[in-house]
Amino acid sequence: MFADSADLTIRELRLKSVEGISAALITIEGMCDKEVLAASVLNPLLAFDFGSKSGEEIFESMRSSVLSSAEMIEVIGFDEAANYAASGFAVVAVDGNKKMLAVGAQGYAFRGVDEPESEVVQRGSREGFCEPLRVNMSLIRRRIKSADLVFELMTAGEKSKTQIMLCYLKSRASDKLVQKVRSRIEKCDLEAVLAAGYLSEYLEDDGGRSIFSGVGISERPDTVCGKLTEGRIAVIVDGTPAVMIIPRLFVEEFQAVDDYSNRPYYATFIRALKYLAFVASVYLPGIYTALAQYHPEYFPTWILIKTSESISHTPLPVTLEVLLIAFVYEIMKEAGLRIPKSLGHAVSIVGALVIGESAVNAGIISASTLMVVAVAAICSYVTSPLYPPVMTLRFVFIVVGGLIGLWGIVLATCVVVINMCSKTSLGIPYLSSLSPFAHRTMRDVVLRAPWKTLSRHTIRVQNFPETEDE
Amino acid sequence: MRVSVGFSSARLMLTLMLCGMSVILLENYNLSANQSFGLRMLSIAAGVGVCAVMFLPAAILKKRQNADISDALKSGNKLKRICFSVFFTAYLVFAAEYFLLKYTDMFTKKYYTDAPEWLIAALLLAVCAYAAYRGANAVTRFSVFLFGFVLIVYALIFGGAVGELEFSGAVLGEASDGFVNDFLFFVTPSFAAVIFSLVSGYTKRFRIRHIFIAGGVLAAFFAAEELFERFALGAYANQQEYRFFLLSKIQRLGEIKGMEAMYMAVVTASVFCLTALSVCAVKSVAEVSSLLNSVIFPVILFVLHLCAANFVFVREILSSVLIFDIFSLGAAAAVLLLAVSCSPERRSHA
Repeated sequence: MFADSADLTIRELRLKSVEGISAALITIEGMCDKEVLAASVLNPLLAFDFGSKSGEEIFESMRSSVLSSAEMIEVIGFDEAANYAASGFAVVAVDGNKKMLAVGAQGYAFRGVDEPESEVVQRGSREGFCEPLRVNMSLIRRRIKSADLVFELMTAGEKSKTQIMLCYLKSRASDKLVQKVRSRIEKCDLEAVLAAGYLSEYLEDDGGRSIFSGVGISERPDTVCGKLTEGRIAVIVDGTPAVMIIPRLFVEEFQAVDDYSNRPYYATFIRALKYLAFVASVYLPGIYTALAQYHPEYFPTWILIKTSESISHTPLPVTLEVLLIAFVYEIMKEAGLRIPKSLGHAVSIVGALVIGESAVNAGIISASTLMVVAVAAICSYVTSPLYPPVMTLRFVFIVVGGLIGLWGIVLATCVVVINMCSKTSLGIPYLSSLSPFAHRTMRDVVLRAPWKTLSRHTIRVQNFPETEDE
Repeated sequence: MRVSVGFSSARLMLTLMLCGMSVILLENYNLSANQSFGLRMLSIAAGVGVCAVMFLPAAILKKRQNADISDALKSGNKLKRICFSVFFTAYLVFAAEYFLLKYTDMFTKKYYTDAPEWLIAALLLAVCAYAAYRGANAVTRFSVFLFGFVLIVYALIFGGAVGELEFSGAVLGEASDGFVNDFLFFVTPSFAAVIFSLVSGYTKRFRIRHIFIAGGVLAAFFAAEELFERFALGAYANQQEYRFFLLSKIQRLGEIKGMEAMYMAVVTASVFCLTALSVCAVKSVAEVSSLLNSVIFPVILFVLHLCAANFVFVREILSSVLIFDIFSLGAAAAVLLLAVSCSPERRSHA
């Protein structure tokens, strides 16, 4: 174990006044803070006079009075010792003892606590999760100081042995839900768990086959704490700033931390806008295609004249044109995400001016089609966590609208809604609050009721109607 | 492992009520042209009253042994089980086909005149098969969204047509000979009561008041529809097929167009709901697996549809309102028979 690894360090120690019994300090280079290691492990061990004690007595003295670290765990066996060493602990072994001591001296380089770029808020904390598990735990603990908050350590990944922390409020989360999450993580048979996304499919009820996700992701400690108070469970994966929250319901995609800081009427207005933007981003290009292709008479006259004039000058059929623009937009979006920031402006200019304006001027695409796709694209960012399903559905509706018209869009809607209606997240219906309808929780769905009303009843996610048991 | 969960009776009732509404919209071109407004109201009241009465077997079954049809069937002998299963399955296939035929007929006459009828049926049935596979619970959850959409569409249609109402030539009491015919059409939504009985085993909190609420809403809707048709469209409506379709076209809301497309969406979703629920209900009486059930019965429906498209006598049988109503009454009576013949003690032995 670690035999050929260059980062393994074993320091043999000769203990003061001890004959025939030696000790060893095992660390992994770069994982320990050298100053902490020297102050709390090495110096006390070398300075202490152990006298003529047996191996077991020496070990007991080390544990109780020599080593000064606050974090000290007894370990048995090389597997466990290796795990701790790889996590930044210094492992102390003494001749003639089965047990070893893992002493906390972690000190690896990591990114500091920073504002998460994906969840920017106007009012509220600027702190976001970072990569180390313990730092993320402290960010949550600072917000919920109650002893009710439980952190439960697990590992996943046959090779990576990634530390996973389940986090929940004992009085709020039901034991059944916690047990479900626990058993699903245990069933994970991946070799390496390098990010939260690796585990999310294992946590879903349908194994991630639906286009909507039943696992939420957040980089904000305040969001996670809010969810924990509703009986949800957070799963923190070491090495990633994205914390998973389960169960995740559809209506949550439209809620934001700012809603609870703003006035209720404004939060309600913003929520309504988000729902409208979601519908527009999914349906607008598809309905436009269906109308332009099969039902132009439904356009108001002034729009019909301009649209038909614009479309008649382009070489491609409307469906292909909409699909083409949507594809080009997705390519540009991916390019914008992956290229260095310094080149981002160049891509924007090329996209907006060269591809957009020039293509319209050259008569390759029509201005109305470009506008429709652009509006849908902007709307899809209003509910950014829903972007993958929104993008997929948009393409589906464009194709269906182009092939079968509005009737096809109605049928496709039936399929999508039935799929969503049958989806569950940890046994809780994904569309809960809307269908099955729960009037008590509706005060925080489209409407955001005042705090006095919200605090009147405690919402516990496992109490939603029609929750399934496995 | 997924397990079925109980769901709200009110929601199932809502789903079936919606289906009932849309179905009568498909039917209304067959209403008597010269019927007076007063008698039409009377026929609506009588028809909806019969529909409400046909919910009673489900209530009795639930009250006596808190069971559904499949439980009641299991408590009987094999021959009885086979006879009832075959009867209910035949009824459900007939019901689904009855509405599917009306729907595709309306679709090809009023919406896409060039569309092949078989393709429309095939696509709709494919979607229904998927929904049936997902289960009755998913279909009833879907109906909540459909209900929201229905409210918007009808508010727009009726709201936009309010300005068109003209009562000067109102005839309220003149007798005519179409009462029985109209009554039969307003009994059509009673299929909902049979389907409710067949899947009510899943439901919880079933109350008699649900029947009155559903019946009341259904009657109010029909009355509103009749009011707008009669006093907004007048005699012109009687010369048209699918008068409600026409109502959706004449509504006045400035530049908003395409109301008939929204109406079509409502009817499509309702027929989809109804067919999917029928296939789900078959599962509760025929002992087949969910996957098999979701495939076999849509295929049977499609084959029947092809037969109806090619043979006039098949079409006439499948779209006869009289046969359908008799069949519905028979199915409701069969539910009652099962409820009465199967005592709670016998069921507990089974």
